[in-house]
Amino acid sequence: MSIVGPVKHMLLYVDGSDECITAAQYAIALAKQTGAEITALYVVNVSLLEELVKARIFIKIEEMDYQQDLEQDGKRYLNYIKELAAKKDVTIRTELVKGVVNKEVLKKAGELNADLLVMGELEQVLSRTDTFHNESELIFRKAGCSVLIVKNADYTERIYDTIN
Amino acid sequence: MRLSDILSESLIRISLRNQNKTAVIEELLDLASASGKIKNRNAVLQAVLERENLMSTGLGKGIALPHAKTDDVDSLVLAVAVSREGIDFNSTDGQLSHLFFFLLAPKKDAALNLQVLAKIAGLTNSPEFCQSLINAGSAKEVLDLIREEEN
Repeated sequence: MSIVGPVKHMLLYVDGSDECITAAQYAIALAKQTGAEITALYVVNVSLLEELVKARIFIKIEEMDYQQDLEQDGKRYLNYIKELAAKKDVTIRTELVKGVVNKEVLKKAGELNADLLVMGELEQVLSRTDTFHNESELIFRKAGCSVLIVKNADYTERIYDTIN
Repeated sequence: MRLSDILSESLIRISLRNQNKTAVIEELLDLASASGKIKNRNAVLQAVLERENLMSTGLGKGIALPHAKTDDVDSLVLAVAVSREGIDFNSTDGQLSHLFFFLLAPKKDAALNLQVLAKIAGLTNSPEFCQSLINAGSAKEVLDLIREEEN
């Protein structure tokens, strides 16, 4: 009887933070050891932009401007993660979508039948005012599969550096 | 990132000296200069005024959030100021503005900029909290209140 690995397909949530790069390094190291596939997903947070327009903080032109900026940021981060993976001979699929972040991530996890969702460290303190935007917290709480929150950037970088 | 991480007492003024909208924006910019992150004051002022000309950042309920995205700051700059008398900032609800969040964001790091704007929006959702900032007796008290609310 063959042993079935616990991880076949990881979904890496990329939010444009330093923490998501750490998560990517860990996912790459894990994929190297388990042979699991990785899909990296960046979601352009259009719902937050709409909220800022509704709150009259943004005008339409700013909403469009920031949406373009976020798309460019997302592409930049996904390309960088692709390069990190390529350096370790790991193939990574990348996707950029627009929408409500937590919904898109959970939808993608379902579509891929992902068995592990990998994400960067959450903020240490969750204040009640954070509920306006804290998508990572929602993803963590609502995910239907196991979630790996990667901590300790220095340690993770050492792991990444040592894999061949 | 928390607002209290990018604020300091030197970036908070509990009694604005000016009454005129443009003069208040200049005063806020001078306050923000304490961050040492503003490279070109005139260019930043222009960017803030241009944004203001498109639509007032007087959000109503006594709050204003003048802001601009500019390459003339190295990283996010936030200043907070209070006017107990209130300032006519052409707010959408016609009320005077008492509480000012002045935000300058570099063109890079859009996600971080949005995170900070969302945090300001979240904080100012509470009229009681806003009133406590307006009533604060010192810059330290304002900073402590924000820190407490975020924690």
